[in-house]
Amino acid sequence: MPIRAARGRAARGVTPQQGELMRTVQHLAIAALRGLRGVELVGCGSFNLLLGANNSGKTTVQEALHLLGDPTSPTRWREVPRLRRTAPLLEPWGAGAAAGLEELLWLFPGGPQAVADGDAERCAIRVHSEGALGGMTVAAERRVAMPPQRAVSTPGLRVEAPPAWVSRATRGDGPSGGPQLNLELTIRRDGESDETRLVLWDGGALRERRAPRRPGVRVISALEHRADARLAELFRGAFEKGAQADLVAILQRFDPRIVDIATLVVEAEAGVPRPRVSVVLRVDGLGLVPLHALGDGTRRALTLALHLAVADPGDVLLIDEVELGLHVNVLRSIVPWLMEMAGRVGAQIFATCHSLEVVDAALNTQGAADGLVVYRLGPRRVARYDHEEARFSRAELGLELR
Amino acid sequence: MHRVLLVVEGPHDLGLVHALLLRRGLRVVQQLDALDPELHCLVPREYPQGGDLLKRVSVPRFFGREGVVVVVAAAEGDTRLVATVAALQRPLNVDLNAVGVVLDADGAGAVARLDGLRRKWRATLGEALLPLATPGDVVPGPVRIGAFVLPDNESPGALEVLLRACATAEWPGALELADAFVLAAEPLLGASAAELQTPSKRTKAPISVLHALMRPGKAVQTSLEDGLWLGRAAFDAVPGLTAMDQFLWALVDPQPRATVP
Repeated sequence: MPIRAARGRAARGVTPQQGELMRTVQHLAIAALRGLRGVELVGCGSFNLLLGANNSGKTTVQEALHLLGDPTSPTRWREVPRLRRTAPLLEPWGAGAAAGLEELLWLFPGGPQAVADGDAERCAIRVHSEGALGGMTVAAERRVAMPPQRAVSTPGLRVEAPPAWVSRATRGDGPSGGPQLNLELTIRRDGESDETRLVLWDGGALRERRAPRRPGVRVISALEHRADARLAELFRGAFEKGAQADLVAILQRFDPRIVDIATLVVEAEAGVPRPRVSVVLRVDGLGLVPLHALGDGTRRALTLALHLAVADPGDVLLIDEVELGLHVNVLRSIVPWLMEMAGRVGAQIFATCHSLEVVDAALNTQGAADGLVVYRLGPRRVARYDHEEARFSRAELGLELR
Repeated sequence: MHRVLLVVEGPHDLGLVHALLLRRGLRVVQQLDALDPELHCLVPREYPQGGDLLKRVSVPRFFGREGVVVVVAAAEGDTRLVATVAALQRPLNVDLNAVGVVLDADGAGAVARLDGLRRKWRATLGEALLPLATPGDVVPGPVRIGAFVLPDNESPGALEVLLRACATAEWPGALELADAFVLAAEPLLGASAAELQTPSKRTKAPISVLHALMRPGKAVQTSLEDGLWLGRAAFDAVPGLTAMDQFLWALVDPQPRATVP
């Protein structure tokens, strides 16, 4: 799905103030996004655990943060709805052209039907945050517009005559036909309000040339650790930051025989049209071991470590199911390490979780009292626990929290 | 469903509340399947809590009858009352209809103890649902709220003072003998009876003697739960017992009330 900003706004390069590095997002309010209404995360910490039953909205909270991270980025709009399926790089965006727009429509509170009906209230996304990302409201509405020369009927969608601005926006670089999604974004930051329009359609290639917004919002999806190419890309950034020793240290918690990490370049040859770069580990007694030969837990931990290694101060890391692939005994050491590293980098973490072991490991981490916040998303309310409240509920009353 | 949360200081207080609720027609909910699903989140599922192998799993006690469910939890100490209220309230996805606290006056007196509770309450839970400054009163409203200060919302002391008054009404002769027994046996026990030197323990000793005769080999809580201390004579003669019963009913009665009974 190509997406183009009809009128964009350059990234401001927001730099978190000293002392706020651990609280890039201090407050998140989701008025309307997917099925969530009136959900607030008050008093965010530096390490935030999002608990709750399936379908309670944990992933939607992460989607809200991901959108807020760079709402004028077409790439971001491309990525956000796809995080529910798999790692962003595992599937080509063009796969199933109609699915591109279709996925986006489900971000809107009323879903595709409300959008097709032109229900202004139910097809508006409203998310607000306070903190170093800047207080902002993202309002979006979707209209279906078709080039007038093509009278195509799309099942489930009512085709309307395109407003004039759509024609201008798409002149010379727009779709030749098919449904379009016109997003109108009102972004409020630093006391200013700015309006941006994005035109999205299925098919074609995405081209975006601009620096990512800072502080960044990074996503660590549940299956990213299986995308070797993605890990190689991350490792390049980590290598440039000199993080190899940290990476080896975390890997040694899984296998003390691991002594080094490096990249291996396979030159182009018959059957391999382009050079392929992959990450390998040097293991005593085994030599160079490719990542795909490792267990899920090791690769998951490496993925977490790589993201932290390339993160900048003030970045927000969204971790989907932090416990995924990690044995309970490993969690007891990985979670404190994750919190320590995030603190050292100055990154803020929002991690979804179904594991009491993760909660307990976080509660038992030295220094967690200052930055740990647990949110339990229920069908009607969000319960917030600071460290002492969570500790009391867990250790003294034996409550599950999740 | 009318849902009530009641937090008491200790297991003996819970025993008294248990007996009073049963008198009002409620029954103990023993099977998880029979419990209001909205309250399942208050049932601990694991052991050991906090890694403590000796600690008993702190399961609240649930009572119910048609349209009413009451959660009663022992905070295991007066300093944990407000934290326990907050912790049990927080995971619920439904609104409670009433919240009550039962605490001991101890030596400070009822008003001073309630003032202390209100300060902690305000710091932890905010102004909403703040109990009235008057001990034993229940604030009517969408969420009824109140605090009862044992023994009778006025006098210093604790549950044992109330139980002694009950025993005086129910079995005056037996209580007299129990007092005499404690006095006579104390010197014979020497250093082993050192704990009797504190006034509260001295009050508790004859109560324990009576209990030991009524429910030998069982915890004091059992004679309380069985309602042995709550006979007609006790209700007629002990205002604190009647006040406690009315306080609980003001929280538990599903019919909204304009005034405290």
